[in-house]
Amino acid sequence: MTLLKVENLVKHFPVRINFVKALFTRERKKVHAVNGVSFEIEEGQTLGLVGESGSGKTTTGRLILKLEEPTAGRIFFAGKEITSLGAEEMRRLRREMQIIFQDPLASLNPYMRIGEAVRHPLVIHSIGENKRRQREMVIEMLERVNLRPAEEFYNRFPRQISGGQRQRVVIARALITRPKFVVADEAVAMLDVSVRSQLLKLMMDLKHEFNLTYLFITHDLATTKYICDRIAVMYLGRIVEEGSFKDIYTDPKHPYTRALISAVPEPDPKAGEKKKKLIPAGEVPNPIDPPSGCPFHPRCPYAKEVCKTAPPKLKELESGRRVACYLYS
Amino acid sequence: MSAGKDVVCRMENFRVYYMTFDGPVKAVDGVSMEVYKEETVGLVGESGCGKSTLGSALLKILPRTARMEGRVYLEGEDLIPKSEKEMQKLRGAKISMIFQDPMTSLNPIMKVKDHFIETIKTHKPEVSEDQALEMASKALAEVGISESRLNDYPFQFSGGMRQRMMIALSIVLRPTLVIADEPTTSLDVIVQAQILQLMKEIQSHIRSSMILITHDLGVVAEMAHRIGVMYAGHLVELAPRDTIYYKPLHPYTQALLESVPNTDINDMELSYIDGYPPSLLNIGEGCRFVDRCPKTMKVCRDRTPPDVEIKEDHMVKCWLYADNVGEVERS
Amino acid sequence: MAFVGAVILIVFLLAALFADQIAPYDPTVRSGRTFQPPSSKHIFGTDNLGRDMFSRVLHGAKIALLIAFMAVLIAAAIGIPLGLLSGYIGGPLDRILTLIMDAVYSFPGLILAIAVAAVLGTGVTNIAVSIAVVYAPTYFRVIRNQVASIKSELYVEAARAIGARNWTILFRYVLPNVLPSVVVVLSMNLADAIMTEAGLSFLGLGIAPPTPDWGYDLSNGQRFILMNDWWMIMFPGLAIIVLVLGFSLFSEGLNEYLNPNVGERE
Repeated sequence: MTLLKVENLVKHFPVRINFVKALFTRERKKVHAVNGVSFEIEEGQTLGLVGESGSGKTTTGRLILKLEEPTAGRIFFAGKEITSLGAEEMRRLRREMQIIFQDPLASLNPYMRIGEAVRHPLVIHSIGENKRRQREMVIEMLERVNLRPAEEFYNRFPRQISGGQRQRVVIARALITRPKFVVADEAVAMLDVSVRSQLLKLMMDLKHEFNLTYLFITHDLATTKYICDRIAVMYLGRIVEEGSFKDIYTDPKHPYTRALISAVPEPDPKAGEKKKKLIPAGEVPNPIDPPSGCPFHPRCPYAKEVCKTAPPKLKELESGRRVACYLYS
Repeated sequence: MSAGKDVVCRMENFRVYYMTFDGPVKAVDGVSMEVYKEETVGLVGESGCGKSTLGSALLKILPRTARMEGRVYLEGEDLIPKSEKEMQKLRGAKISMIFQDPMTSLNPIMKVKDHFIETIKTHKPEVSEDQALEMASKALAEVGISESRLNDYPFQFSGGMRQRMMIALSIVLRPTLVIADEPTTSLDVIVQAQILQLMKEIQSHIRSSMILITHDLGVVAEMAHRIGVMYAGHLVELAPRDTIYYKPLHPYTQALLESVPNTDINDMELSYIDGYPPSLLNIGEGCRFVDRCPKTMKVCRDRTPPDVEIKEDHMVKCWLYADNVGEVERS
Repeated sequence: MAFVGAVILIVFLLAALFADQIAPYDPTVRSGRTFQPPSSKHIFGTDNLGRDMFSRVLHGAKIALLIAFMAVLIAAAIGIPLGLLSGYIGGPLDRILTLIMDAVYSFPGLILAIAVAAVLGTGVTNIAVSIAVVYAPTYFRVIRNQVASIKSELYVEAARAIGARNWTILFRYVLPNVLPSVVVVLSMNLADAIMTEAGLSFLGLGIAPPTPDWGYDLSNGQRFILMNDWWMIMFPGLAIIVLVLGFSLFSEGLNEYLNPNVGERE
């Protein structure tokens, strides 16, 4: 069953200009953060959204949770369209759709004890008959994320625990209402390497235990291997390639995907030396002024005339494999 | 100690302690190692292991609360007793640093060319401004920035370009030793690959040595000739690159390598190290990995392991490999 | 530093609370000969009407502290809620309120207090309100700016993401994080309020005689300075200085404690 579907999602942020300029120029610049993104996620699956800065992956995640209003496009959750859902209805829906942010320290209220922070979603959505029962549920959850002894952690403040422990608290808070869908926005990026794998393992276990559906946003291709069933690669607001992680890693089709995979430094010297380096020149262009046509064409070694005209559409090559590139159409 | 190789930097029992009201935080505690000519030594470890502190300590740019002891020889001269004035003569000219965040380490109100002129003229006051500009242009060309950008301000550069500029600044006077502290951590993957490639080219071109500090085991695999692994202020293993990756001896190195995600499809195992590093405040004797190590012995908790020379260029700080551990002390 | 300030404050507080008990004489009536310099009977001397200066200073503390606290409380009661709403809601409401508050803020404090006092008249409450008007914009500003920046903090967004309502976010997530900045402002404000109150009384717009008031005593005493009767301005003046110093030291120390800089310790 398709749990989440987005159709042609677009988000343009207006660029703030000063008062005087606003008087004299008509043009208003926009940050083209998300430029027509479409995908589906089946229940129980994990989709990895991979991209560098400016790719629009984080904005996409926030659009899905309606933390930002889309400029255009449609969002469907469990078959129902939520694009223009009213504020109160959306608020209630948040019980089912949660997010884990990148910075564990910044996402916790410094003045709220851990137990209270994790209990708060239960309070908001009136889950649990009374305070005592809610407290029990929190203790259970804290133990489930390996914060023991849970009673001690209940009373601590975020600044009194380590980064990895904080992120566990964030996960506990996100999952305590037993949501169906969770967006993990660079959830492990700010953690040390060995703690990262601890948390990844925890997220994988919880995925199976609670039958979660994840949207796993990251810039780090290697972490997607363990937790993602499918991967979508984004560049400058568009999806350029989509497929199972095995397909993407062993047979990347889009030139950008190839460049990305070849650029990842391997923690294995021999494998690293064997890998061919296809490093494009230049950097990701400014999303305020994206190139015409295919967004990657200025840096693409295979660019043709047609690439400058209009952005290529995502075409399905084989079952489950989509690429947006004129090399394949 | 490799015979016949010139030593550019030698550290002997190098210690950096932060003095606080509650006692010393032993951020770097007894590191002894050498850096040879024209090599890149990677210094890896997780946050709090002391690698960044060590890098900054070599340039003596730590806050006044940091106390340094031991010996650090740069081309034969001990840096520890040197005054601030003496260090200023060395920084930029003999030993330089590439910082992690190009956005905050460049002066936003100084033009690019002024950054260079200031650095050059501080160490070579006899050079005229025109000559300095020429040197700046050449340095920029070496990193792939056209000299037309000399009159720009750093904020007009993209992240990758700023890092290139910082690299150019750090090599314009051809220092003997360059310390790169997480130089690509804040950059995108593809830009990182560009910068790493650039750094390799430049290093072979100007023939300096480099200490590359990073937590990224992929980056050192590409860049380093030898790798030092740090944990909680100790240098626990130091060996040539391939030895570290394929024949690591220290339990921490082994565990670390196993917990790093890689892109090999056939390797779906992701292990992790349970627990957390110890606090360095007032930490006492004993191996610091003892609470998380799968192979501990009784002596590990009581006494700090010595630096054991396994082979000519392989050092492990671990009781498992020390000869003089009595039978009683093995549990 | 905070300790010294706190000691000073406690001394004055005690003086104010127990003025009735400690003061040797009634400060509003004549209790000795006029223009007496400090002596064992009148340790601060007497003024032009023969009133005991020491008793006047003690009772003056009561008035000064009372008005200062009232003024600051009223100012905070106005400024903080408005600042919260303005910072959180933003938009046109924010812009209008900020405009008004900035306009009030740009008036020199004493002048504004004089203007309001002239309208309201004398009396403890009225004086307190006049002074409160001067300081309300300070609280508004501090809170509003803090709220505006905290609004975009990740934990506020996380609160929205778990489904919290706006009022909940405002009171449980935003308010606790902006209040600490107010605590320090409060203390500094009290120091300022004491001075403004003294200033008003000095100009004759404050508390009406015979109620003892430091500012009034200053104005009264300055008339006789040419006759070398220094004690009539010296002691009330000293009282003002020391109390203000006490508040300043206390708030500095409090600031250090609440917002510690990762200090250098040799």
